[in-house]
Amino acid sequence: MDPTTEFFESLNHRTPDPLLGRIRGTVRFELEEGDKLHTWLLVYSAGNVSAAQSDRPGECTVRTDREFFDRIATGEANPFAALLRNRVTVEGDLLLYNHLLHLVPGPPGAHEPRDWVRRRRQQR
Amino acid sequence: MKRLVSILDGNTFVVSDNRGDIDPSPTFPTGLFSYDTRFLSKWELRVNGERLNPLSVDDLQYFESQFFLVPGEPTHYVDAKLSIIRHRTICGSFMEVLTILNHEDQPVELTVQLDVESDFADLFEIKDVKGKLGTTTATVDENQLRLCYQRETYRRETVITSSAPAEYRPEGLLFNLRIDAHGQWETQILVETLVEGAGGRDIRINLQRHHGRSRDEMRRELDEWLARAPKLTSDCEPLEETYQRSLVDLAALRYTPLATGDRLPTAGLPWFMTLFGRDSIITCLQTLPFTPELTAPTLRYLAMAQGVHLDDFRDQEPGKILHETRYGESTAFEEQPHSPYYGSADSTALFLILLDEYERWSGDTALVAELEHQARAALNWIDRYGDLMGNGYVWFERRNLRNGLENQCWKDSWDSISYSSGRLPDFPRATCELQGYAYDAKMRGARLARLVWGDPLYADRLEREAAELKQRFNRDFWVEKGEYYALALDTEGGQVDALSSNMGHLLWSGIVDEDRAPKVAEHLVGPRLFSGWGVRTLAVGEGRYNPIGYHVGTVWPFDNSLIAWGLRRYGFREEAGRIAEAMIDAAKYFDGRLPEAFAGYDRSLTKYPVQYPTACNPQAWSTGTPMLLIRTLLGLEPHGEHLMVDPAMPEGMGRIEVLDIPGRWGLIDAFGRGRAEHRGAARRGTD
Repeated sequence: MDPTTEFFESLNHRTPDPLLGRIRGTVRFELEEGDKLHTWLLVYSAGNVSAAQSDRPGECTVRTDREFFDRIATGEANPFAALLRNRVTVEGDLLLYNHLLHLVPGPPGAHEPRDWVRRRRQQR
Repeated sequence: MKRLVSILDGNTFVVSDNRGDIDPSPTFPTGLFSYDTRFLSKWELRVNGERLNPLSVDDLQYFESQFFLVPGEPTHYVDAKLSIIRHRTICGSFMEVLTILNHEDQPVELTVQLDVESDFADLFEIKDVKGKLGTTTATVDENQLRLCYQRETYRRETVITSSAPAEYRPEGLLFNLRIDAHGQWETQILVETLVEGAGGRDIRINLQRHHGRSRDEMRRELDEWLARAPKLTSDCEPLEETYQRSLVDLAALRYTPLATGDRLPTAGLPWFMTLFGRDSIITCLQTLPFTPELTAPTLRYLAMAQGVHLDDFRDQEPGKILHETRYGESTAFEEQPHSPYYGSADSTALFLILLDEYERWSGDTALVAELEHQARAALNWIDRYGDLMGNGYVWFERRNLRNGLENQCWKDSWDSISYSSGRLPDFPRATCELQGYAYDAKMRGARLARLVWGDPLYADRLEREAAELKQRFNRDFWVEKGEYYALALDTEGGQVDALSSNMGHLLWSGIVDEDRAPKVAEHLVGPRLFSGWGVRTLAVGEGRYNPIGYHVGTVWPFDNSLIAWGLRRYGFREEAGRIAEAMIDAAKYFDGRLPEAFAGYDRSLTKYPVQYPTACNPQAWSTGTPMLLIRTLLGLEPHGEHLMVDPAMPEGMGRIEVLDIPGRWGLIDAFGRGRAEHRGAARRGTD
């Protein structure tokens, strides 16, 4: 399965997140691949999220190419920076787009701070 | 250096010389900036090929200024046959109304030339210039000049139009004029900035505030803002002046971040016109009694942007409150980490402190309930990620080795944390004020857990942890020999023993043992730390002391406001008053606008406070300083549904009267008088 599909599918098995407890809304993703357009609808509902391939409109529409979204879905690209450089475009409620950060993984290879400190001290 | 003139509207601002011109500068941020990008780097006016000379500059409002100019050298003033007026405003866009008056009794023919350029520099590039990776083009059509910068999908534009007919050229606008005898000519030149997003439209399009506000609306908004604030009258004129100045500057420094329509305080012009966790929180803490409307949106935004991941580049961990957000090219391409960057070890505890202080003033338990999970995540961060050494203290060490901050405390320059000898300690470092904030955050978190979250067990745990931290701290940080608290602990548990202002924050946090407080107070107002104009960041005699060193000897107004507040908390009324008085005295020399920092020279040496060379002005937490000092002088303290007033003012300060202090009590007035035998009183407002 490609990272994008895996990411959206996994949202349906996520345990409820109290940090998203007050977020409600829908986000439509339009991901281009050649001349195809993959559309997904993400639904935030009081801590629960779900996603499905759907052509329904959302309160926020996110558009980019599928290949780049693979990088967001794996934590390699930062959604906020991507918005600033117009690599991803967002129309509608930007706040909903911001909450995407809670759903995507962090950058691969990040260190636990205590491990980092221990290792750095050993090196010195 | 020529005097620079700035006008601003949040994070859109213009810095020019006193002719109104912007000369290309690779090293100083002159120009038109918006969202961390320079949209104009050159803006030069010539009449008949000649640059102009200023007769006067009027700073009309923070978003509006006016330049009166004449052709020729200053010695030729008497012969001027022309006057040129540039009237400019920043209201989302930049507008300049150019008026030329002919004083002769015959018509004149003139060539008026406005040279325009943009380098689209990222604010981060100005200090460290490098070649741009994208391409800049100038496009001319019949009624506009369009400057574009494009790098891959990233695109920024400057669009310039004139209401009067102009010849648009790639290098600027040209007007060939004939002005009648005693006649005048006028044009409105509009400069719009574009941060391109979906469909070629501006990313900021969703932000109501970004577009279409007229000067009249801006003026009305400012008037309303001033009308909402409590009224201060005082025998102490400099205090009145600095309070008024602060109110206006606070209005000016508000900006709208992407994603919400709220207005939050930016940190300082010109380098820090964006959201900083630490600066915004401290500004809110200082200004809560006067302009409380800044606080709830700041708390909400910081909670929304709270860290969720481990991210080395951004020094991010789950539960951490952000350090800095930026919108420029280097952030967009992930060359700089500010999307956002989380490299501060204090903003998370400060967030909790502000949340509690806000509830104490406002009674807004709904917001405390709304942010419960974010607050718990923040409390968890302190123990789980802040405690890098696993020994019960908050430490910092960056994981972004490329461009992360080395010192992740408010003194964030490279040499700010040192032993008395001047030697720099290893990383990680645990500065003392971080422990004070952590203590206070736990105590306040406990109060909120009991009051709002219905979790007394959690409250008990937090209080127990706080008590243990306080005990540990007083054992490990107290320097027996000099009788003060060390600046930091090093990785071996040793004391980083420089005598510094950080100790003053400890009083504010309440982590200082009662029997040690008198010694701390004595040091703070003693000759090594107190310059006469305020408490120095580092004491005279320390290895790295330098009266004009950014964090190693200068006096920071915001630092002093927290110190005065702390002294007051422990009952050192006279000492707190002395610091407040020194700050208010200093403000006189800056037309009421306290700068970011001034030199630590002894007051007997300089008859006036010397501004730190590249200090930001206005700077949000300097702007908030007079307000916290007023709170401290009047002893304003929420107590349940009431506001307690317990003034302690220096003799000679005379009367202070603050009307309509807003809070959960409605509106309350407070009075104080600068004589020991008189006590102030509180009176409930009638409306």
